[in-house]
Amino acid sequence: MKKLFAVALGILTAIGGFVDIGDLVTNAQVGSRFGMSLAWVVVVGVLGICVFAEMSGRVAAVSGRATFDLIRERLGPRLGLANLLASMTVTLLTFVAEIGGIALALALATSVYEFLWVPFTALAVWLVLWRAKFSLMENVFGLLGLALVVFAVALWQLGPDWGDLWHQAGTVAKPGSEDWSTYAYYGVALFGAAMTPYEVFFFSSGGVEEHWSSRSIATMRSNVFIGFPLGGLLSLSIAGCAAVTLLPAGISVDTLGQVGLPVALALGKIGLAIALLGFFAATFGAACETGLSLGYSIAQYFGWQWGKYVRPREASRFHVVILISTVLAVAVLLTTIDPVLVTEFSVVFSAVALPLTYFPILVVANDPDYMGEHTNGRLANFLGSVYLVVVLVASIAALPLMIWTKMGQ
Amino acid sequence: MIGLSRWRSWAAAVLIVLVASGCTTATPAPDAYRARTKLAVTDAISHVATAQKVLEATRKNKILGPYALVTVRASDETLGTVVGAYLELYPPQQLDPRFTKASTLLGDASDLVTQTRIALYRDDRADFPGLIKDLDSLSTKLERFEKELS
Repeated sequence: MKKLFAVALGILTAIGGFVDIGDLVTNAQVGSRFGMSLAWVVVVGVLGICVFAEMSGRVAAVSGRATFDLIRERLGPRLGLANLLASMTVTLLTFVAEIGGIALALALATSVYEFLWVPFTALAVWLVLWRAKFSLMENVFGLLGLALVVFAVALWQLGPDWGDLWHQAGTVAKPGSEDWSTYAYYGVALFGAAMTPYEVFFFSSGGVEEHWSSRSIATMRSNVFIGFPLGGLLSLSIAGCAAVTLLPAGISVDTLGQVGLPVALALGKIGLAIALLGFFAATFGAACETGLSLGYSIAQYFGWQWGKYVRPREASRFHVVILISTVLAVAVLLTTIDPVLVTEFSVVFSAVALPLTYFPILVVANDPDYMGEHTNGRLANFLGSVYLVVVLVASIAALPLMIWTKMGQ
Repeated sequence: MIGLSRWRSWAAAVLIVLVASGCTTATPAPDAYRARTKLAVTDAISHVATAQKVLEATRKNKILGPYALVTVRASDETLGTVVGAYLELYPPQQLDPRFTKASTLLGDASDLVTQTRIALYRDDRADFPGLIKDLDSLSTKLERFEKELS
């Protein structure tokens, strides 16, 4: 019974923790401009994150060590450093976007300008990262993130033509007013949002924090293979709401307020309040995950003591990295840069950094010295190899598409 | 010596002209200007429609007050930036009539979204039906103009 509860809790937190500011904004933008015609990218992205999260989770469970810990040891300091720099840049950008997202959610709830919220939200995130227990943090924000199910309810309540939505989702097509280059740009951005690098670092390091062992592999797999796809459905329902409500009105999403508008139209104030809670939980939870991931990456690379399973005094350098990252995020946001714009950059640069993140995971998961009998099988290697090609294509295309389309204009 | 001095004067003059031209707003080619106009109009349609949806939701008591205000405030700020950037351009002479129409419609859009923001802030519910009607009418005009530009 206790194990069943642990599995259910893991799945629920995986669903609730799946969506972050990148998913919220990008799915709504895509839905409002392309309908459901890019839904296939979400499906491809979710399958990809499942493949690599399972590998990195298995590595953590079998070796008792997290991804970055092994990457430097297995691939050497140079490739490890390239990996560190690429993932750190993207994760820091994502961390900035998440803190901005929390501030935006609070601004929508109070009408106080988001920039006034930034120092307080950053302080709150830092305090949680410093003081709160790992499992408490993961479970509370993961479960509160389930509030975003309100988008699925809103979509159902809006009563769309389901046949038309299915048709859109099953066809690679675009509205006549859009270019194929813009379609490709948003496809890459959506892929980057679904396969954000920090997710695997957090997942594997979290496994070590929670003392996973080989016996935890089944639970970990249920979290990944049930929780993540259901989280992907939340992403699709956000896109669906935008496709049904905003696209016909000619609204293209530039602000977080527009993302929640379909929920207000479908379910009224209570629905909107739940959506706001979901925005807050999703961004706060993701800010904690990205903040920790920054600390994990650097500490694991340099071989410092890391993690929340030890006292802050014992992992002081790990906590200093988190503190410096938080101060940097506040400094960036107080330039009054639009957090939604930061989010758009972060998802595109995520796509650029994908190969450097996922290639080493595939290598480590194939090393019998670390993995023993849990080394990758044929299916995992086939899917991992196919996805390496896909992430390489997305990575190469991301920046030229961003420049060519002027960020999707 | 005189020849060299004159050459230097010319070089300095050319340099000043080049630097100065880099500091002014460019006159885009007609096609680029049309594309910029279309982009500005598409943005205006989006923000006018946002203001309209928010206002309708407020009238039906379906949206939280702060949420409505912040959403329209963001639209107002973004639209103000879009219109400001568009009006800074120098239109090619043959497109003057199009510029006049675009600037009028964009100015109207910006004004109306600002009025919506103020009405929401003051909770002037008596003004809502009139504003919704005006926003709807402006949306139609903007959409028609967008089609002309395609």
